[in-house]
Amino acid sequence: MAAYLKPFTQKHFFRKMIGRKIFQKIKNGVESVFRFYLEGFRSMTLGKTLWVLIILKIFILFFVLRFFFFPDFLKTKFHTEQERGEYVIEQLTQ
Amino acid sequence: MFESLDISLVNWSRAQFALTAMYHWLFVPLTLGLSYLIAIMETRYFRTRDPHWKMITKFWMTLFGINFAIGVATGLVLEFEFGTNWSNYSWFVGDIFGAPLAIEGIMAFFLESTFIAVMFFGWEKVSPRFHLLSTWLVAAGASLSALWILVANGWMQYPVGMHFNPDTARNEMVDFWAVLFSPMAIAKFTHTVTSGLLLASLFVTGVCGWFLLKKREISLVKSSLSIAVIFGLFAAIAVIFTGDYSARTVAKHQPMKFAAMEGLHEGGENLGLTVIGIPSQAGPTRWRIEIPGVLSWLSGGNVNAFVPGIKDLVDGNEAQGIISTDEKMIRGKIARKALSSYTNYKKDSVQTLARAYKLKFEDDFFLDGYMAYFGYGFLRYPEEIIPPVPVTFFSFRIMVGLGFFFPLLFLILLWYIHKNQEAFEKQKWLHKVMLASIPLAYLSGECGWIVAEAGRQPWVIQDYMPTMAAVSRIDTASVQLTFWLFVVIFTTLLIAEITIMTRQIKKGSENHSNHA
Repeated sequence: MAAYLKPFTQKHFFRKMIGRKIFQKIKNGVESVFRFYLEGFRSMTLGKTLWVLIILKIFILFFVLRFFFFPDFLKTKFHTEQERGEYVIEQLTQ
Repeated sequence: MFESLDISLVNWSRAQFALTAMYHWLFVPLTLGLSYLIAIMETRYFRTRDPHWKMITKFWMTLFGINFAIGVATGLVLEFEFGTNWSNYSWFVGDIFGAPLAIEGIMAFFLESTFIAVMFFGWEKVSPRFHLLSTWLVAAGASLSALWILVANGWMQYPVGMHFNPDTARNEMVDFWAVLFSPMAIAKFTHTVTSGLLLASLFVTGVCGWFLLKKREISLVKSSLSIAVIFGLFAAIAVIFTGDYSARTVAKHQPMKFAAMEGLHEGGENLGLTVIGIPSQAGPTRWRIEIPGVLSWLSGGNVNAFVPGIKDLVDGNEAQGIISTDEKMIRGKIARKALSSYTNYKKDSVQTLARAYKLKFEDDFFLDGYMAYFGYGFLRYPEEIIPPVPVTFFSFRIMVGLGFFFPLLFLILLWYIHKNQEAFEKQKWLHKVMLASIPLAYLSGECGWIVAEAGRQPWVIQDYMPTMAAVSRIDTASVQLTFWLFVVIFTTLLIAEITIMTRQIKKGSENHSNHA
């Protein structure tokens, strides 16, 4: 491992770097945000149905439609920006 | 090459974009407007600490949540289509379209998504002040994300602040502020956002109308209407003013669209505003009922102002300094030829000629006199610049007619609420009108977009790129397939929205001490 990476691998590097108190504050902050979302999601009623809908919709849009039906035309046909530009110029000037 | 283009590919690509944009617009305005109404309601709660207002805020917040959840990401489909169906366009617009869309995405994510969580989960977890701030930030975030997409749309209608790079065939942004504050972007943003505020007010009014018909939730109705009616009246007035500004901007920068909106074939001075009539694609509008002098006054600021008609714009009008479309087509072809020559000389390493042609693209005379008509070089005949006149004409009249009906409705409601509350609760006809105003508000908004988008045909970028040049050379069958897929997906989403929304409305204010 490169020498300049060694300090990052030390135990509690981040805590040592910023100091115990600040580290604890950040940790508590992150934990409370996590708890906030977790409890929020847990106590949802109608929201659960809506989340199922959102996830289903995003799956269909991004993983089915995007991958199978909506590839980026220029990116799939050409490898470089220059080739793409040349193709469009050809389209616009023919 | 464009002679050999399969026109059904262009039409199917357009139909698909229109379908997805129109479905997307069913969700957006309610999110835009209802967020402000909720913020006002919560402000009322914050000031009075009356739990009744908290319950009302939560009731409308739930409906907002349903609309947001079902509508979210429907706009991303349009971005897929840019890359697949409209690749020439996407490339040609370069970072001008990309930058506002990227800002929109970041703002939508950080402002809306973050604070929406606080709005829904934070009632008992954060201070009332922070919760209220979050609600207002959600409203501001929704408007801000609308700003960027509308700036991009405004640029397509009136391209400014860019420079065309002949090496890459891309437009590069040279003046961000010119793009952001172009009159078209301002018109688009103000008119669209105020129409969203109006639609949300009508939505609240309509739901209240349903409760009144069922004689339920009278207390919720009274409080909600006390805000929605006044807010709606202001929004309706704002829509009229921003609509007027928008029409003046169109008259100045997109005169052909303006002529189509009016079904105006022969231009002239001291022209009347057509209230109604039967327009035609090729000839004058029949059975016109008009208000004398108003069209000239509205578009040019005085009754003697000249308003160009379709004929003036196609054939040209020397006296008014309007260049004929034939002439613009010649100039456009010269610009296209210059791009072609530059590319060929560069490829063949004829440096001197390549440099000479490149200099043309930096010369103001060439840019203003020829490059500004680049898109005309694709046209086959001058009449191609005429948009679908009847569609534009009638959509405009439906939008404007409803735009004047809505403030009238709010005025009637305001009078009843403040002067005769008891009689108001017995006016079943009025409650039915309130309920019917929900679909009418959506109809009005969709018609507005039809005017904006169908009315600017054949341009995808005004004067620079016609729709047929923007489309990707892909298989028409794949566009047809995805068109029908979108019909199924978006219709399912719409049915889900209506079903969940009506179920929640029927429940009324019960159980609104819980989370949404």
